[in-house]
Formats: sequence, structure tokens, C-alpha cells
Amino acid sequence: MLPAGLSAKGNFFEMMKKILCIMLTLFSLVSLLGVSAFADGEESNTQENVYTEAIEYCVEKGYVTEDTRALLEGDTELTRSTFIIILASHSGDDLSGYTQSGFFDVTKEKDCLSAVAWAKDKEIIDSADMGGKFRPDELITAMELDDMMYRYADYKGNLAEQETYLSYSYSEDDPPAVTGGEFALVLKTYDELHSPKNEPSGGGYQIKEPTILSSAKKKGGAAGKRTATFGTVTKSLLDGFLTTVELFGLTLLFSLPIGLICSFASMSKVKPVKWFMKTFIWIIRGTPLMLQLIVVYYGPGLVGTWAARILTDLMTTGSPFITKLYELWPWLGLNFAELVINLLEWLSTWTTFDRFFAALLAFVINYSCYFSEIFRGGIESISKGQYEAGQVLGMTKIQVFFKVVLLQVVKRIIAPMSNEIMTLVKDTSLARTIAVYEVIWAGQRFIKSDGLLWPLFYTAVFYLIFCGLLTILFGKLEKKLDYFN
Amino acid sequence: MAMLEVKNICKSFGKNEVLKGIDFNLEEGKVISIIGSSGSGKTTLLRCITGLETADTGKITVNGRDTFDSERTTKLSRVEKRENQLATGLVFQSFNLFPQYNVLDNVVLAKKLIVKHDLKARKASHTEKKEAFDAIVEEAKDIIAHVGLSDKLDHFPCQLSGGQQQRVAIARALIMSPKVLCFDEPTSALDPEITGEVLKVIAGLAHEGRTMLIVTHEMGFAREVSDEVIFMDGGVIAEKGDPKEMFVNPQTHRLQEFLSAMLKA
Repeated sequence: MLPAGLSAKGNFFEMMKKILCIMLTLFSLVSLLGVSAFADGEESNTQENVYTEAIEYCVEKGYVTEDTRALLEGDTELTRSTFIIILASHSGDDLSGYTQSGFFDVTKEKDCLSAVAWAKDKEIIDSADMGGKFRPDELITAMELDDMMYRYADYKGNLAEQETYLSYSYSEDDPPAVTGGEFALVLKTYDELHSPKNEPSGGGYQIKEPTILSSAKKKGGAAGKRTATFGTVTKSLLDGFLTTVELFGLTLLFSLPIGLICSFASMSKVKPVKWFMKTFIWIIRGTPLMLQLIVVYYGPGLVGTWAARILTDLMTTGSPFITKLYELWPWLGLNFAELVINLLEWLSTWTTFDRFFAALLAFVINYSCYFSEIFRGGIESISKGQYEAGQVLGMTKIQVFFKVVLLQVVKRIIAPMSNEIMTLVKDTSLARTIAVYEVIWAGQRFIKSDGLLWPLFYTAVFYLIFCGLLTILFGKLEKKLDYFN
Repeated sequence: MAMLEVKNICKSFGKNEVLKGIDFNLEEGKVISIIGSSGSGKTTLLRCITGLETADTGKITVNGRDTFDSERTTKLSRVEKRENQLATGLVFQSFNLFPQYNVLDNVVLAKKLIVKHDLKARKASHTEKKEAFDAIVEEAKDIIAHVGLSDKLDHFPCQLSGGQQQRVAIARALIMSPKVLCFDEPTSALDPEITGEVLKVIAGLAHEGRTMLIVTHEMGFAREVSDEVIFMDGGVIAEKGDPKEMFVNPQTHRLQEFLSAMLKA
């Protein structure tokens, strides 16, 4: 509806703007689809090749280590800590003089702490702007990156007035994130622009074309080595699938016995044990596995920072907490307060887990609970008569369980267990939420790096073959136990 | 001294008083049948005697050994508990054979476990163990032949008829050499045509002089095989005596009612 008082000319322009926006959106959608559909097998002139090249360049130059490389590839959005670490190594400055800063809301990654300290020192990070907190685990926005690159260039003496590094639409409500590839490209282009042969003798020059992305478009013509053959794709996917199989195997290895223990706990006659187990199983089965993965991975780090913060509070504020504790329970003595301090100190050393280990832990916990419920159902379905028959024959409870009950339980739980185990094979793909390199991610990378869609569909083949083998295995097991009812 | 002495056994489940003071003796080589309507406590009594339930008060003595004494304050050791359990044997109404083992394995399983445990404690040699196990297998084959199932040694319970399964259950109980062999309605789950073969086996055991305690609804069988019949009603022994007398001349009103009801059915 037209707002009252608006001129007819104004209305027309408003309408034209809207139509133009819609057309642009449609056009970009169509071209995006077109690129993915027809990119196969052609020399592609895509952004993705440019980013891969830029990342290679940064690795060559030593700004990015092989470990950090994975954090830049694919479509991964850049975290602030990764940005500052890479920027610090790009500067070539010696960071050994920078120890932990006074702020405790950073992760314990030493590189990050030194890099942040360095950046604050060189005024690349504006303390006033950030409100004193760097927030390293958050994603960096395009504006912040641009801002910090500007200051960095200033620090390096390379500042030219009209340099901007990223093109983005300014929006305070929804600032756009930056991907690792884009940042690599920024660094590469920065180097190219500021290498000695480019500098005119007068020092300081102006770029007419301010955006990196548009200049990259011109350059990106010959980019992109054709590396993706069927063989290389298969090899790459096999690497990822190896992780999948490892995760699958290790999870099974641990969660089967733990599940058995949990099933006994949930049938226990000791009420608190039973209650605790049932609640725990409810929590684990009632929350998404993806969420559990994230919690297991980031949890320890959060605990660590929280403990460290409490520790500083205690230390700096003259610890009225300790004196109060002493007042309340003098018979506990100073030892209790010391114990608490020691505990907090130990907790504050907690960092995030190794990714694979975190994924394994989350899977083991999750599947132990599911398995325990299946085991419990199987065990409880055995008639009491079996136990009584064993008892009157003088067998102990343990003998009855292992010699009489167990095989009957196994026969009953094969079908539900085969379901769960096949689900486990596919759930391993969730590990990518904490950046564990597995087969689907491997397949998806080819979309970014080579513009190929078929590797992603190809990953299904790996799963199908593996699950097919499992199906045959379970079928054989069922048949083997068919001799009795 | 009787082989089985039951003194003042009382058992309640919550507020429900199931056994209100049971006293009787079973002499060696004799057979007692227990009859009565459902809810009279017959099965509970049997379960107390064979150790599946623990009575509230009273005393049970098997072959001079107190398998249950409510006044005992000290805890039983593992060996004592095992000895108490093996003093009696029980054949269930629903057989309760182990489905994953064949007939021979069903019979030898429990005995092998016990012998293995004893041999391990004595640190016996490998050949001793093998000899012991072979002896158990031979013994099992004899007993299985005794119940008439020699041709079914490698069959599984799911391949046998009800009567055959019950006979295997009897063999399984026999190999443990119990002093008192108890039967909990052994033929109630069987077709009338098949009950015959099981009753024949039990009668055979009675002739051999086995001390047995049988809870049954088969009046004819009880009269033929038992030396004494106990009629239970409402948790007490209402009447007991010689079967030939009791069935013809029931003394109590309750037994008269019961017998006439059984005859009508």
C-alpha cells in the first residue's frame, strides 16, 4: 500500500527498485544453479579455484600452517582467532615477547593469546571498539576484517587512502561473515599490491578498483588446475571414509561394553543408581547428537575459561570468598579453601578436546545409551523360569547369565542392534560439525574446489557398500542363531 | 529321622498370608502328593522347600541338614548355600529347558559347571577334568535312556513334544542327585494323551525308591503312586493320610467338596 503523501514519482521508483531486486535475486540463483549444473568437466572459471590458489599461496609463504589449512578450506567461515593468528604470522614480527594478556575470556591456544597481545600492542585491535573483549571463537565479520586490515596496513606503513579489501553491503544488523578462502585471497592480493616492484617511488598510491573480489575476477581466468579425475576423487573420498570407518569401529568397541554396564545400572535394585541412569539416558536420547557433539567439543574450553575467570576474581579481589569460607566453617580450615583454589586452577587448564577424540566421546556416550536400552529390553524379555531353572540346578547368578541367558538375549536383540549399528555408520557424518574430516565433507569440497557435484553423490556409494556388508553380516548371524527358538 | 522335615512354615506376600503354618514329614523312599485348589499355597510351599522363595518363619530339614531355619542369625557361606540348593530338585510345570542347548547339553550343563568349579579349586590336571566330564556325559546318557529319550540326544527343545521336554527336565533334575525330588504340577501343561508318558516315568522313579514330593491335579496318579496324600486348603494342611482311604472316605467337608468338584470336571 502506498504511504500517504508520497509523490507518484517516488512510488514508481520504489516499485522499480523492488522489481530490480527480485530480478537480481532470480538471476543470481539461476546463474548459481547453472554453474553447478554445467561446471562438470569444463575448465571452470570459478571463485573457488581462486581461493584454493590463494590458500596454497599462504601455505607456501608460511602464513598458514598445514594444520590451520583445513580451517580455511571449503566454505568454512573464519573465526577471529584464526584471523589474528594468520595476520600475526604474515607480519613476520617476533611474538615471543607477548605473553598472556590480562583478559581471561580467550581460549587457551597460546598462539591466539600471543597474537592478540601483539595486535593490541600494534593497535591493530582497537580496545575501545571491542569493549575490551576480543571474543576469539566468534566469526569475524567483513567490516571487522576490513577495519583491522586497514589498521594493519597503517602499522606496516602501507596505507593507501582508498584501499578497501572486501566488498560487502553495509548492514549493522546482519554483518556478513568472511570465509577462509576470501581472507587468503585478501592476503595474497595485499602482498601483490605491496610488493616492492609495485610501489611507485613516491610511496603511497591509490587503487582505482577498490574491491579484491572484482580484481580477482579479472585475474581468475587461467586459474584452476584440473586435478579431479575419478581416481583422485576416489582416493580423496577413501581418505575421508577411513575416518568414518575408524570412528565407527572405535565407537562400537567402547559403546557395546559400556552399554551393557548401563543396562545393568538401569535395572539395578539400588534406587539412586537406577534413577540416575534413567535420567541420564533420557537426556542423551532426548537431545540431538549434533548438539551433543558441539557440547562435548566446546564444553571443556568453556569450563576452563569460567574456572579461570573465577580464579582471577578470587586472586584480584583479595579473596573475601576464602575468608568468608573460613569464617563459616573454621573447622574446615584453610585447607578447604586451598583445595577449591587448586581445583579451579586445574579446571582452568581445560581446553577444547582434540576433534576426533571429542567426536568419539560424544558418539560413545550417545550410542551406549541407545544400546543399553536395547540390551535391557532383551534381558527383561527372558522369562523368569530360565533363571529359576538355573537356580534350582545349583548355578550361580553369573553362571546363569552367561551360560543360559546371554545367547537368548543376543538372538532377540540382533534385529534392533543391526538398525542402530547401521544408523551409527551414517551418524558419523555428523562429526563434520566439529570439523572432523570425513567422507561427505571430502565430497563436498569438490564443489568448492573444482565445481564438481558428482563426488558428493559418489559418497553414497561408499555408505551403501559398507552398509551392505553389515547387512550380510547380520543376516549370517541371524541364520546362525536360527537353530533354536 | 525323615528325609524331609517341614516345621511350621509361614509365608506372606505383603498382606497376603499364603502359608499359615505347614508341618509334615517325608520319609526316605516315600512319595507324598499334595493336592488342593489354586491359591491354597501348594506351589508356594514347594518353592520354599526348593529354595526359590524364602519363608518367613519355620524350619526345613533335608537329610538332617537345615536348608532353611528362620531362627538362624549367621549368614550362609557360598558353599553352604550351594549344598542347600542341591539337596532338593525341582521339575517345573512349564519345563524351563534351556532352548539353545540340545537334550544332552541341557542335562549335563549344571553338573559340568559344578565339577569344573571343584576341580579348579583342587587344581586338577587337564586329563582329570576330561575324565570327569566324560563320566558326567555317560551318566547323563544313562539317565536320558532311563526316561526313554536315547534317540533324541542331539535334538533341541523346540524339536520335542511337551511330554518329551518334560522328561528331559526330569533327567536334568535327576543328574544332580537330589535327596528330595519335587514336581510342580508336572503334567498340567501337557495334552491328556501325553501325560501318560511322563506319569510313567515318575511312577518308575517311585518304584526305584526315590523320595519325591509331587504337587498334582492328577487324582488317579496320586492315588496310585503316593504313600501319603496331603490336601491343602487356604494355606494350611486340611487333611492328610493314606491315599486309598482319603479318596474313598474324605474326612473333612472341604476335601469332600474338592473331590466332588474334581470328579465332575
